[in-house]
Amino acid sequence: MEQSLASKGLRLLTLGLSITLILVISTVAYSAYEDLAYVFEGLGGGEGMPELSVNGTHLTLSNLVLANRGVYPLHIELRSDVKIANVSLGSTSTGKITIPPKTQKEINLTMPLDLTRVYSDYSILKTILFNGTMASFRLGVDFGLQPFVALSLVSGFNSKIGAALDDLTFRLQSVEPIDDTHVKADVEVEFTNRSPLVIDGVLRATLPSAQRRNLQYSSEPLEVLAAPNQHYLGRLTFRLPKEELKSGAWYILNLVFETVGYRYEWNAAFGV
Amino acid sequence: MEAPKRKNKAVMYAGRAVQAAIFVAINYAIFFIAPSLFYSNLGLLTAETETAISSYFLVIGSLTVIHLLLKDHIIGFASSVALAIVQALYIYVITNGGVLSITYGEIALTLEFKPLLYLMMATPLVNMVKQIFDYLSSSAAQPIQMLEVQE
Repeated sequence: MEQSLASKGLRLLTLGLSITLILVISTVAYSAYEDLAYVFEGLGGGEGMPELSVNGTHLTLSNLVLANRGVYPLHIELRSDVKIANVSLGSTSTGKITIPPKTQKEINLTMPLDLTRVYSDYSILKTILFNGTMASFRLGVDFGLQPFVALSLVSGFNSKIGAALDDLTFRLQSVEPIDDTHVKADVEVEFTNRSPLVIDGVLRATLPSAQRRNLQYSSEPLEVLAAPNQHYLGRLTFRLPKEELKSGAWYILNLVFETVGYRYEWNAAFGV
Repeated sequence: MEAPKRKNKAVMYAGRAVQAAIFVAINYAIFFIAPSLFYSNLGLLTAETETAISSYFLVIGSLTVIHLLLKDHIIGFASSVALAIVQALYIYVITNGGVLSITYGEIALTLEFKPLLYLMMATPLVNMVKQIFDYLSSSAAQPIQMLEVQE
């Protein structure tokens, strides 16, 4: 019995669909292999290796070069969010970037860090200044071979960040007479900024009198600016009556650190 | 007269059995080995997935045998339609609707291939339409016996 035209058409359609399916699967597999091989070769050889840096105000992912060696347009979107001590500092996305076949693109991701959220919380500010904490980074990548396959990858890692005022010490450096009744006392301030944040603020110190109640001597405000990993050395200068400082005694400093409109108060001691 | 007819039938069914064996083997590769390998390589082969693969393969295998052995019978036609539906359903179920999620420690990976899935499902479904069309055409083309009524 002879097949009708519609039956022949349906047979051809089935055949066409099967051939299309085989072609699509093989070309998608080829494109995915080529693109992934490029990514892994790049990571292994250093080419296209992304750099992640935090400069205190921004988190930047740079030097990420991606080439599309496949036969389908490649789309990619990078997303990132950062938290310090469970407080979100912000999130960002590159938006959908399309890389046509046989071309390459450099992808950069810059995220402004909103530190006011951290500074406005007193206990978190204390943790960041003195104890160090955990920063959690989450990076999401949406990757797809248009229009057939889309791959979404979300990964995160925690990184310990050190205290901003690590090993903060106050040391009486020198005492020099100013006149017959007063001396100039220089107290050295030393710390290392082990956090990825730039420490920028003003340190105010007062020294309660050992002789008279309710009398306090104030130093000049000290401008503190310390980049990440910087060792900071500064000096608080007091003008004191000669009889205030006695050898072998310990003195309490009342300290106020002001940064971006927020202040943290604490006490520290130094010996003479 | 009966003996050669029976012999012819036996030869015909033997040929169909061989054809069925070949198609079951092809289905075994496509619907059993390929998904098993895929899922075990991704580390996603769970007891439920294994059961689903085995159950669907058993149904697909049985329907293939029935369809090929009884291709000139209504049961063969019905099984071919059922086979196409089960194959399409199997492709959808086993690929989780074209969305696969894998988690390796801190890394969560989601693979979405819905357009490919629809393309995969379209082949058996178009084939099913063709089977129905062929069956209806052949039924319509059957000669009608007009019996002469004698008073």
